[in-house]
Amino acid sequence: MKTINQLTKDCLNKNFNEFYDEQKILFKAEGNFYDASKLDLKKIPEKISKFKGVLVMLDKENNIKKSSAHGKFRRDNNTKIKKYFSPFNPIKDRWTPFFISLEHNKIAFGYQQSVAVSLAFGINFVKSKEPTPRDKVYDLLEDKLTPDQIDSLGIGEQKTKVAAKCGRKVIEGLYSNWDEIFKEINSLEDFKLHFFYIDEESPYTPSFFKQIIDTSAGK
Amino acid sequence: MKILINEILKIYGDNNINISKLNEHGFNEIHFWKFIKQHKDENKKGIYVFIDGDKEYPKNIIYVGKAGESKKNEKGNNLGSRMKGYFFPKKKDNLLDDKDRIIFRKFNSSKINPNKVNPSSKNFNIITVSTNNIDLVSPELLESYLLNKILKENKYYPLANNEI
Repeated sequence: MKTINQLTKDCLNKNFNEFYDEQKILFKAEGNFYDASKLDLKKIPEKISKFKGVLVMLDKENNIKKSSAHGKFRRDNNTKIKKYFSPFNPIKDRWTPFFISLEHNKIAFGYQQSVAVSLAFGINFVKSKEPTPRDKVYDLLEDKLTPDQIDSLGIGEQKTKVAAKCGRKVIEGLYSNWDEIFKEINSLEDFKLHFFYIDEESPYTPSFFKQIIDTSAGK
Repeated sequence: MKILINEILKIYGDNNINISKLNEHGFNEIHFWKFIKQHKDENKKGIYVFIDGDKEYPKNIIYVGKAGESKKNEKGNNLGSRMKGYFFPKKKDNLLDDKDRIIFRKFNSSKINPNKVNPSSKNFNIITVSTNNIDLVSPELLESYLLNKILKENKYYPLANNEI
């Protein structure tokens, strides 16, 4: 892997295809590059099921549609720096703002949270107002909060807790309504999904590599 | 810090970025507010670094923040407006405490207590790196670059940053 300075220089000066291909080779040599189309879904490697790094989505013409970074060094509640990233499971976890369903062979962009919440739970999000109807909000959140506790939360926090219930399985279950929930739905075959694995010991963080990739693609 | 600044210039090129420093010849409150206003009026995007000059690099880095996102056309979000938000409004007694230390109003994360970060004004400094070409050198890239240099190559996590 290159140093932070080498990588920055390269992304600013080389053309995208040259830069990107070089990164694929370098990551592959370390066993840290995966192409989703070549994965055996029955034997997903641990570096993918517990993914840390940058996921790059490209169209057939090799244009980057989206990149996402997974893994940050954060502070805990006592302001100490956590030493480990929280891994992301692309098969089981929810992907936002895009969503990939291997089951339906689709990739969707432009997740519309309020539409999904309304279809999934019959709960309405209106700007600057508490989510309604209240009885449905209380029922949905009753496993962790009493109605009084919910009422004492701010509007934004209430919406966050309701929206968090709209997990991967819920969205998968709403497959027939995806054209309402997402702004754009494509066949997975029209995209390349590249996983660049970057862990805590790497010479740079996933967020930095994402910026590097985006910068190179934007030139 | 000088070495790092030279490195930034070398990597990004002085055509693509500008570097400004608040405190070249000692801290002065009038000059402080001029520095903020100038950055606001120029509507530049980039990063700002708060520095406690009483400490050695890299422990002198208090915070690295960014202003302006490359994908959004935000007129009001610039280096001046972002930096201004960390300090109390422009009144003589509010910028400094009775020991002439800088008082921070807030940091982005509620986990960081601003009362525990009080650099002496005498050696307090702000360095800004603004981009002349946001499509090539984005504030996000500059922020991530600098934080990675500090964390990965110097093993230091700036006091008031919350995620890298």
